[in-house]
Amino acid sequence: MSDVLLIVEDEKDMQELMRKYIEKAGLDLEIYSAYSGEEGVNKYRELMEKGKKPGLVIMDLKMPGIDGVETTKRIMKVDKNATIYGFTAFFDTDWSERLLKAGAKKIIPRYLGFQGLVKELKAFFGK
Amino acid sequence: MPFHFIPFIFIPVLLIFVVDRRWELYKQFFEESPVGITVTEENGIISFANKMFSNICGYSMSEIIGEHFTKFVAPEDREMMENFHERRMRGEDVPEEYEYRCLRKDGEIRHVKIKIIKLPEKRTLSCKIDITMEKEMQELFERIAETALVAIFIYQGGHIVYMNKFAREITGYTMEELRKIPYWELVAEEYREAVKKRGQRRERGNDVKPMMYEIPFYTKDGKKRWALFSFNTIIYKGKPAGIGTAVDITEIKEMEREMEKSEEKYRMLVELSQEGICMDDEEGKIVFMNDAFASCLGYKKEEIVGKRVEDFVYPEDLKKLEREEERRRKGKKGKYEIRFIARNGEVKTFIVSSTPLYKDGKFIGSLSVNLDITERKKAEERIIESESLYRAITEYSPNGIFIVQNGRFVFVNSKFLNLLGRNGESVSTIDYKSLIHPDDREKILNIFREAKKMEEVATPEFRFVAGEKTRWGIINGAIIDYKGEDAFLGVLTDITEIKEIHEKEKKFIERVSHYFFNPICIAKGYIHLAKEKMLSEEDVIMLEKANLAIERVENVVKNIVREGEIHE
Repeated sequence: MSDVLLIVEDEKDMQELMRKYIEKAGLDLEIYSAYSGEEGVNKYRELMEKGKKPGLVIMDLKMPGIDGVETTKRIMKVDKNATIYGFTAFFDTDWSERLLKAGAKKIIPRYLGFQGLVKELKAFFGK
Repeated sequence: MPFHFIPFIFIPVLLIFVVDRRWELYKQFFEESPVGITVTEENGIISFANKMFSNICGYSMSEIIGEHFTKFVAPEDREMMENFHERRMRGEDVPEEYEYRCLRKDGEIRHVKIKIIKLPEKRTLSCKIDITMEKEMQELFERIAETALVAIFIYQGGHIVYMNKFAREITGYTMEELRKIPYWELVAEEYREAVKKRGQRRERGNDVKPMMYEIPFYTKDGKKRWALFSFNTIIYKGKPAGIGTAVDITEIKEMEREMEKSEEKYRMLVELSQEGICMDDEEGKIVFMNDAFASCLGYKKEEIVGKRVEDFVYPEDLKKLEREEERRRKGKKGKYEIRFIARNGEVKTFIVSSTPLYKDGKFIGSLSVNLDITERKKAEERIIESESLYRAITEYSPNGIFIVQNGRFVFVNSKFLNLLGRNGESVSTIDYKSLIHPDDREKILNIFREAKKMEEVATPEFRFVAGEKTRWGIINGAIIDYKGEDAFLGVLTDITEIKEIHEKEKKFIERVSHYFFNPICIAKGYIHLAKEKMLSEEDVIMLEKANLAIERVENVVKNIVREGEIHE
């Protein structure tokens, strides 16, 4: 499994905090950021083409342009084996179900915070 | 020969005259005798004849005297009479009294009864009585009797001495057999003594009453039959006898018995009938009431019979009763509803079918069949109440209520029409399937198809066509029996507005989630990082308090999203 992580999140603060917590946790991951759904799909395809297929995609739900559900669908079309985790505030809404239906493997509620996210990443990447 | 009697009362007198040889002296007496008299010589020549003989044979005296007696005998009887005469002259025994046919001068044949007395010097004296009329009467009687369709019989000396053909056929006996049986043994045992006594009195010439009575008799083969007998007294062969006629009334008797049985059946039918049967007289007094009616009113029959119908009728219905009784008096039948008061005070409603009764054309009262419909009336009232209730529930229901049978609406309430945007329209010709949105149609129809009788059916949310618009609804219902056939009773609930509210709620929650959780998450993230910087203890305490405050907000938001309630 590659240590490449793609974060699709429109809020810069969220992107920054995720990176800081990952670094602080000492996780040695190659992190890429996309700030919209479309960018996320393009970035995933681009990384694949470069031989850096992301081992995991962290997906926000509400984003300008296409939302996290649509982005997940499109990435799954690019790579049916893609692994996508939702990291969202919409953990108790239909959106979560729709995201899982679109191909996401798990939903990490945003209230678990960054420590909760890092814990999931450690478990996933085996670190 | 039942009516035959011969008054040969003059014969002893004649004999006295002859014996006394005072012939000439009493010749005048002979001349005037009502009996035809002749004196015949040994050679058969008539030497004397009186006026009555002249009348019988129609010849004058001069044409009689000196003629052979056979001149006045019909050819058929001449040989017999000549034979008797010759033998008598030879001293042989021959009948002294017999009948023969006389040939009159005008060729007419008369029946004559003759009595012959021997006189001295081989002379004979013949006394003749014209019995033609009796013979004709006898023949007439026999012809009538033998062709009569009633039994005719004569009894004398304790036996039947004559019985006509009809009687013989009915009894099966021959005359020879009957002559050997006392006639009273022919009737049923319990009547024998009375029949014997009455018969004997008649045979003595007494009038016995009753002259007509019905008694059973036995035929030769032992069968018991009934006859209506009529008796009288006659003189038969010179002696009193009883004559009787009998009409076979066995079938009538059997019919009477059947009628009695039938009447008994009707009586039982009336008594066992569950309907109240009542008969009142022309004044309205009850003369009969069956047990069913009496007990229905809580009385015994004896307590009711003799009272007036109006004594038991509910006061408000008395005028109706009066009108109906008046109609009966006018000969009209009637069927009406009336209330009676039972002994316990309960008001009972009856359907009365009444018919007037007549005897000899005169109104004698009425007969009524009274059916207790109290429970039915109560049930009807309950039905009316429940119908009113259902109508009210249906009409004021906020839901659309409908019944579909054989693919068509057979009932809809006004709300249903309102939901479909078809106020005041008829939906009886609309195919109910067309009201379901095409995208949801198959899903909903499948649920209807799989529905089982009397099991609740509940559809998921679906869209229905409401005029130009599409609305959301759910249907709860069941297969029911409607007017003898399966039908689907459904309640349509319009959930369009609820759905819109839910959508708004959902969007609100999403917004709350988005606009609260993201900043909270970011704030908490930075506070946590800041705490790890080399800050004073006081700064750390302040950051922790800030984090705690944010977590409180986060809890409140979580409760809003999850429970829709604002609390920590």
